Amino acid sequence: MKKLVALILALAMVFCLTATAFAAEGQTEPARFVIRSNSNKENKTENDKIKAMIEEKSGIDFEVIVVAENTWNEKINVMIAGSEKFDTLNLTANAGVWSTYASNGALQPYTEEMLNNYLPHVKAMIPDEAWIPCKDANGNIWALPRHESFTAGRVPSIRTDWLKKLDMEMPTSLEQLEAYFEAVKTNDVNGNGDPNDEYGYIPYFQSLFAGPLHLYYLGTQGECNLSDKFLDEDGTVKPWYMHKNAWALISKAAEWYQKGYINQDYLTMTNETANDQGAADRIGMCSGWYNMGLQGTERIMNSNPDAGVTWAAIPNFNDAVSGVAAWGGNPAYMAEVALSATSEDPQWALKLIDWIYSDEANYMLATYGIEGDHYILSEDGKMFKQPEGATDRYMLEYQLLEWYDYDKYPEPYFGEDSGWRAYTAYQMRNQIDEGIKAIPSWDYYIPYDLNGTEAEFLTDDAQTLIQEAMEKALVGQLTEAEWNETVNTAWEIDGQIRSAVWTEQYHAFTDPK
Amino acid sequence: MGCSEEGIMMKVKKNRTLNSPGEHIFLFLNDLILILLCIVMIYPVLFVLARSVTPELERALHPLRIFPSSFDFTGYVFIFSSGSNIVNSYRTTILRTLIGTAVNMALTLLLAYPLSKKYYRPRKVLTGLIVFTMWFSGGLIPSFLLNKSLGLLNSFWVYIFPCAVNPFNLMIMRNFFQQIPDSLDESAKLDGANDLRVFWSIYLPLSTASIATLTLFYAVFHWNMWFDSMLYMNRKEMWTMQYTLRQLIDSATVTDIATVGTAMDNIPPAETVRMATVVVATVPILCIYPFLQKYFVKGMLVGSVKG
Repeated sequence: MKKLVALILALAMVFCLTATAFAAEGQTEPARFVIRSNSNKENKTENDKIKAMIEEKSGIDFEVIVVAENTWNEKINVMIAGSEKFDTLNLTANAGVWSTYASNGALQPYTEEMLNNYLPHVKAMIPDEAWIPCKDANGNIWALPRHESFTAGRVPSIRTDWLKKLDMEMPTSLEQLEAYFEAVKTNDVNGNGDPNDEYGYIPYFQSLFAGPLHLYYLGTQGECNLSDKFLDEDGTVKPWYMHKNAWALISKAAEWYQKGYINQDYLTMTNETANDQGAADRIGMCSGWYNMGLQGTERIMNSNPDAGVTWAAIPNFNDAVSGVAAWGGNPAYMAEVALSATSEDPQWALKLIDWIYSDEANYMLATYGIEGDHYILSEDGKMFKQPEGATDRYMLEYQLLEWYDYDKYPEPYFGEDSGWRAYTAYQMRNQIDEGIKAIPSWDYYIPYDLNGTEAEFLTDDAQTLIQEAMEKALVGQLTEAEWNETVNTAWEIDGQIRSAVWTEQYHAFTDPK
Repeated sequence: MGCSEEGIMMKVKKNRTLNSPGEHIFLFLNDLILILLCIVMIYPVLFVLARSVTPELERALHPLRIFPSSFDFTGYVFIFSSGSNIVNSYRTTILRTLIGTAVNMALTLLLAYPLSKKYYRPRKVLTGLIVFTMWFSGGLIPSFLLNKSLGLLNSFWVYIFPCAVNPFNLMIMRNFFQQIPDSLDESAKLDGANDLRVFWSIYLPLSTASIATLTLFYAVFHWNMWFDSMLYMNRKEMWTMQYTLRQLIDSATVTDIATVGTAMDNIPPAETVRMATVVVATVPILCIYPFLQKYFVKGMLVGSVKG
């Protein structure tokens, strides 16, 4: 009997030890990462398999809480207000804005001890300029930065096969672009017998005002919303509608709309509708993201590989009214992984992130999956291909810190056998890298925060006024005098208050200390 | 005088069998309007069904066509192959609907019965408290904190307990019970029945129409709910089907355009996914509804008409 009891106790002890095999010594709870849903990566069929491999190799137990992007604000606000325990928060859904969360006490800053003890590989990997958007005016680090894979994404693109049909050259000025629009409008470029169904320009993501015209007239990348601003000559930061060329931007967009260069349903058009227009071979140029036009026209090529659809990026215009010959882009680095204030022991989460970047094999496992199964390296190890169907099984789910550095890690292979859309996008990226300039928002790194300021409780009334004025202008129902009146009203009720706060925070961050 | 009773009957009979031209026109217009209404109601359903199986190119070229020339099931393949989570979600939703509806009905009936009794002293206070919750609630954050403190986060029971009784449905049931004559109650008690026996043997059999109606209300409620899944459930395998489908639509709509040429592959058009989602979400309810329809029609006015 005694021997039996001793044996049972011994087995129980062995079982307990085994049960904690995947949890690193000292880890009492799994590390929790809150990330956004993206490209359906959270529903890949082999996510669990990859997770198990990562846990086994790293010795760190973790879980990922996926939040849909369209419910991000509600979910995160409830989690923060309810003091739900989690370790990191991925800020990509917030465009890297950490300041609001930090001022509400939802985050804790990274300390030097954390970086040195738990993130040595990550710290060594990150250049100094990458920390800029992650720091406050006092130098506290609130997030780990993300390295964008391609920063010139907002370059507009054009149908080069249509240029050829119209016997026109690639436009390098606004005047030439308008000539192209007119030619598209008056010719049956798609050859379907109807000369009136083509549109010269489809702005994806509602980018008519926020796309190329924004850079052309205002010289800055912006979205024409409440957070869009510019630095005036006197050093004040003002809302975009106060710019001296704002009406020129509006009126040019309106002119294009009224001339029929743009789909007349623009104001209610979605990206899906735009893709349908592309699939119907009706669009001659697009903006919003450089490769958006490929999504619709890919269907043409799939149904008829000899259709000859070709796209190219549009070079910078040399006649910009703003004097800035550039298109819009994303910053190379953006704040991404913030630490939750409810994380009592973030070391395991940080150690796991560091483990991913401690070795190329770990990075490839977390990012692309299993070598030989989900990706196949080239002989020199600098490129990889993904077998057909591989991305349905695993893709990016556990890349807990997005860092794309193709000097350090293998880059995806793109060739003619990659498919028309992938290869065309690859060619466009190369074209852009070789000579097209794209700039991010001029103040992307400034951690503006309206909490606790006189602007905290401002409503969206000014934005509503401006938006309505823009839409009226688009359909020819607003004069310049009426626009100026609207701008003055928006400035009085909202703009000047925001401007004061922005100016103060901008100079607090940028002025020499 | 020529207006004998027989004559009147003959005239009435003639009026019933021989329609005047005016009646013909009325009947024709009536039928026409009803047919148009049917088309207006059926067309969107057919449109959704058609769009879910129409190839994208054909959809772009012929946006209003409802009979596709070929079929493309990419949207359905995407939904049902997405990491098999749709299977988990279906299971969760079906369990939630069955268990939740049963709990809802049991508690609603058990609460409605005493509230319908005039001799139950606390009924006015209780009714007032219940009605108060119809107009005012604690809000999102307090509800979250409450459910969290009850240990319901990431638990299946968060789908059941917080919405165990719907005040509106409770009032409907209570009003229906109040319509049942007290004499039935009294005569049963004279025969020795207690309240529970009266409830079980008399009130429930007489209330089948309203019970079926409220069962449908609760079942549809549980079937359609996604918000509580979003708020309280971090475990993907426990998401309800509506939330999973919503997230699939979100994924199809927002591709990661930054990870160029890699993650942007293999996602069907958002429109196709959206339409397929609507079909997947509504077909089960459409299959059940015809069986409960007669009760639904009969019970629509239950609790709202006195006398």
